[in-house]
Amino acid sequence: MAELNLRGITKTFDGLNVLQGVDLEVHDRELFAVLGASAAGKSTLLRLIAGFEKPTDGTIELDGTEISNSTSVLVPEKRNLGIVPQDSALFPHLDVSQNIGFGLSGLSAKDKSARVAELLELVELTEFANARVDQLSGGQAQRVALARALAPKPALILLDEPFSALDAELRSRLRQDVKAALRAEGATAILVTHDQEEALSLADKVAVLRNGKIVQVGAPTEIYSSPVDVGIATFLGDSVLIDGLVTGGKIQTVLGKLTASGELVEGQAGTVAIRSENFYLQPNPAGDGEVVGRVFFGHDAVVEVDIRGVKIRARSNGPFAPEVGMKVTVWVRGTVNFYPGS
Amino acid sequence: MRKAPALVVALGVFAALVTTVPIGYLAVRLVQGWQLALAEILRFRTLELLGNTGLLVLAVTASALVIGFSQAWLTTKTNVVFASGFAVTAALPLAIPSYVMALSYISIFNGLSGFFAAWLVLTLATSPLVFLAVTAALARLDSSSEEVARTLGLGRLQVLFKVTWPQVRTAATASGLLVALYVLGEFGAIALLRYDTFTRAIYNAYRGSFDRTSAAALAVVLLLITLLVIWFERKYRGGYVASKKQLGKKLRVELGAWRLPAALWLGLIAIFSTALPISSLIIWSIQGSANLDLKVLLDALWGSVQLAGLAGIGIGIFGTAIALWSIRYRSRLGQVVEWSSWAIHAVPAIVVGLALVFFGANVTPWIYQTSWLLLIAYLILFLPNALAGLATPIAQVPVLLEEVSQSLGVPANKSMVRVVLPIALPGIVAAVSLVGLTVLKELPATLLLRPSSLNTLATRLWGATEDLAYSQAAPYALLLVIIAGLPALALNLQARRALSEVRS
Repeated sequence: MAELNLRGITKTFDGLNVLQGVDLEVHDRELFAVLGASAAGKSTLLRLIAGFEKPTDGTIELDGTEISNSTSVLVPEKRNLGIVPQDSALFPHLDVSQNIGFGLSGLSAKDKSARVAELLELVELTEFANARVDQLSGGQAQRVALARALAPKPALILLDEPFSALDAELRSRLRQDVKAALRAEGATAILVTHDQEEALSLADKVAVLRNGKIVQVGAPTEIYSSPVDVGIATFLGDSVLIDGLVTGGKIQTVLGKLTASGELVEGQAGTVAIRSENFYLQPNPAGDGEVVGRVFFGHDAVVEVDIRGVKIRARSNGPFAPEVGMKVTVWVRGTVNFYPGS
Repeated sequence: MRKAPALVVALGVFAALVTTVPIGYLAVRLVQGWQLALAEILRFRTLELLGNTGLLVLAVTASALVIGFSQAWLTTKTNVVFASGFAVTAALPLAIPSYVMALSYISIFNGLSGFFAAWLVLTLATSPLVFLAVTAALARLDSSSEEVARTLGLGRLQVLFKVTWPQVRTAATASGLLVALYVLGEFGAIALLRYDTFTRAIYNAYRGSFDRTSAAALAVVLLLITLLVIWFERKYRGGYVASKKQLGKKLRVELGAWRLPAALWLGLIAIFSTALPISSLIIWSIQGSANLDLKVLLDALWGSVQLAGLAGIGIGIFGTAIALWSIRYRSRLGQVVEWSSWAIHAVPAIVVGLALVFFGANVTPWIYQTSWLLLIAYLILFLPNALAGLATPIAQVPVLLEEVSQSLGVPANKSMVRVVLPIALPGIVAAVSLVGLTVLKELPATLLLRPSSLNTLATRLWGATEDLAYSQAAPYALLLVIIAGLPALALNLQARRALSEVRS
């Protein structure tokens, strides 16, 4: 069992609020991602959970026991959690097996080596058991760091942007490996990252952290399809923002009447956020949109369309994307998100 | 903030007390007997010593700056022939203790003494300090500013004076003050060459009479002058021009017709500073080997190695504790302790020795004339060297590794032992070895404080020169260069870096 509860966590450095009243609930065996831009307070949040910092205000509970408040902090070594840092931080004076076994105490030599072997197998590095850590590639080092953190069977694993130092292809493969390893160990984990793709593809639940405050918590699909404000809508994936007016239960925009999710108040003006993949461009010589730019990515393309003075970016099937100069009709598929007042 | 382990605090505080109390005691005693002390100081003799010392300090500093700077500039910045070879010979005198250099010159030029002799020997012994500092500064210098100056129409020499020199001036000034401190504290070479400065006068006053007030009073005057120089050093050290490590090819000044004269100049310095002293030592050693008592030599060698080993380990333990305390725990008290050991780093060895004689004879008679007091002297003298060498390897261990270790259930103090110390170990060993080798060469404090039964290479050498038996002294001198000087030079990070920079 592992239940982590943060209540009203505030952290101030030199009079500056890095975190303000953060509430989080992480449940047993959950893979929880905290998503935020750089300097949003992600690392501070992890350091508070790990016990390296004392909160200015608020409490942290692990399995019902208070481990941090503004007056006392349980030392890191008694918290029963594991860290996987950004640059793996393996101990350079120890080999791979010794690194993984570092936190195993109170076990017989036999049990210890059995546990190390088990983890080596889990992260598929058995043949590197006695390798020096400086011989490992970035991805291998990160897997050793994960195994090292998992070895003492901690209640909670903290992953601090663990994939950001790796190249794109390795990153997506390692992500799935890590997810599988965490599941196999039945671990509860918190991942902090600035990479929305990483958070959405890996986590069971995502919290969006902005300027030291949690602005939205939910399942990945929920966060992506219904961002609570324009800021998150643009932060999570490519969104086009246009003005709109609520008219007859629909939203009147330059792109026509659009269907929005949620409650609408007749006559209210606001901003509509449309995902670029929700556009459909139909080639039409009589269309009132004109393609003014195209960036080709292979599997898809982003097409820039000028329609009645408004520029939109639409994601389109790569090889069949309309070319610059073509006239198109712009359709919006599905529902859009409407944010009144802005 | 994290609390430092009790053991670290205890070691640090003990070291700070041991290093400051004797000097404080000396000052207090003098204040109590201030009338006597004042009478000692207000003699014409003091003025004479002041003149002699000042003249030597100024002359040596000036000439060491000229020689060291010319060596650094020619080897790093010009197309002079054998640049990397000359860089080695420029650093090599560091391997020869200055009293050994003096001995080698006396044994060639019999009767060499006085101001000129002291000036020559100390200039040769100290110019490597300037060479190393200026080479490092020149290597850090961004060549592009020099290239720009050339395109703006400045000649080679104009670039040297208007662009290069201003950028390395702080480094050169700092090394000049280092030379000044070195000369102020120098005892062995000056005593051998019989030039009267404070250090020699202090030693003679101590040896010559039962009343040690005179020696102590002179020591305090020397201490005040030293503090004045340190104050100057702090004030004018300034910030180095922090330019990024240069990339690409270095601009080499074409010497043209001056290429040969420049090489001759460097060659001449190399002959006087290295070739002559070493060959003199070798020749006299061969002559002296006929009636060399091997048992006496081995006995002295054993004494030296024992002392250096004990001092190295002891200083290493105290130094590691203080470095950990001030770097890893960032404690205010830890920094005070570190500062206190730095503050007395420039106190001349003869003053430290004398202070311990006073302290030992009056306050702690149970360790007076035992090796313990001598080891304390080494701790005072060389703890700052150890701290300088220990700081880097300990600071380089990422704090993150400690945090990971703690999150894995290993308490903070145990993480220090299981993670920080093993990773820093190679650097710690190098720093401790360097300290041990420096102890091997130490002369004045050893002379004042050694128990009469204990002999070292340095004290045997000294005894032989007092009897003017140069051929007997030479084997000890050569042995000191081989087992202490050369390994120390090889371990010296600054020297290694300077040599690699000339070669690159």
